[in-house]
Amino acid sequence: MADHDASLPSGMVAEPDIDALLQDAIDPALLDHSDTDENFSNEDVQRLTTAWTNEKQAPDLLPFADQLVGDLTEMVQNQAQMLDAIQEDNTAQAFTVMLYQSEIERIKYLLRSYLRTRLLKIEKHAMYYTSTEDYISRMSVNERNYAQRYRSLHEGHLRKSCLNKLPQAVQALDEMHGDIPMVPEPNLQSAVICRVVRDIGDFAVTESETVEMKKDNIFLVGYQAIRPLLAEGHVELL
Amino acid sequence: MNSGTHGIKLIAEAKRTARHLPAYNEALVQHVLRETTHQFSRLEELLRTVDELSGADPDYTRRIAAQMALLHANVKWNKRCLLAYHQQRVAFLKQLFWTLGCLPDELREHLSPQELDYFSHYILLINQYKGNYVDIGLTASLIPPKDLYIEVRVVQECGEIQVENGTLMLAKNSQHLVKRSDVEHLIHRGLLEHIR
Repeated sequence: MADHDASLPSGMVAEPDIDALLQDAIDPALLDHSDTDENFSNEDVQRLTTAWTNEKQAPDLLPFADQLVGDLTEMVQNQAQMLDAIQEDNTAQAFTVMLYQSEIERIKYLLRSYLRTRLLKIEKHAMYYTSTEDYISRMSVNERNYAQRYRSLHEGHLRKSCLNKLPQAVQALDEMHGDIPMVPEPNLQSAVICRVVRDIGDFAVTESETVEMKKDNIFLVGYQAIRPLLAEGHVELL
Repeated sequence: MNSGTHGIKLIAEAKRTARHLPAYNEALVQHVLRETTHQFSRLEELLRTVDELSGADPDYTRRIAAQMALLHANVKWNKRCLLAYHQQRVAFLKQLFWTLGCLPDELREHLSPQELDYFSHYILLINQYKGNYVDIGLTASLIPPKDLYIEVRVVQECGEIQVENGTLMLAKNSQHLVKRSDVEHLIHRGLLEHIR
């Protein structure tokens, strides 16, 4: 019975009301306030989404989107403050606030997922990344700190748990096994799926193979081959 | 001596760790450590013999060289087994942290003192990094948010909690429509159940 009561009014009243609420909600003062902000931020969100999917799909660590993360974190703060200031006097305003809050939650999710994807990658190859100049420069200051500390925590643990009890000569963590290094490296040969963002023309995918890359084409290729294109933003990973 | 078999036991245990965390096998670890140390000293011994005998009898030297190669491979093998075992366990611990946020009591006794230490240090490390992005809530759920408000049922008594605008009494079996970000950590720990 209680269940019935709860679902019926919301199902009946909320639906037709949304349009009206939206109309009311587009209060000129509010809109003015956020118009420029929104256009600007939407582009940022789009760019972060691209950076995030790229990061998720690329086998190695990509350069940190420093500016983007900084701007968006600041925006999330500002928006939250702005919402705090708005009085929820009537339904329309409450509705607007809810829309904004949902948007903020989504951006926060994006940022969170982006940062965590990177942390995970950094942990996985902490030893390699912290000792390779190129990758050190791809990390943010915070990530660099994190990588260093994580590495020493991890190595310390392995030493305390077993290595220290082995003869000195076999304690190293970075020796070679034949020609295979003991420090795992990201596999740059792995295959990725990428979408071409703008016309590139003929592109050498392997030494012997060239394909014509047109806008919106989708390719399954070796990551190594398209690395320069990705860095330039000519392709995005899917 | 059938060397290498204990190392492979470690690997088998490590493989099982993918799903759950068996108790830290101190005895097996110690055994492999002893075996490795023993093999290594045997290796050094042989090395000295070869030095002393240098050039005496090529056939004999070759036999010793073969023994040495075997011992050397064994030492390295055991070392890698040990590392893989410990590595796999801390990987599990880290995953535990990201999904639960804490160490369940029943697992506590499965850990070695070093692993307990590792876990608490790892939490510190994450919190340090998290401090740089306070507003984002780095350790919050990684499920894309669909709705701002969700309906939850209280599975375990939580008492009064702080929410964005005031406090909320979460008595067992009651149902509430709440802001997702306010109660996410409670859902995570299984105190609340997300209904819709």
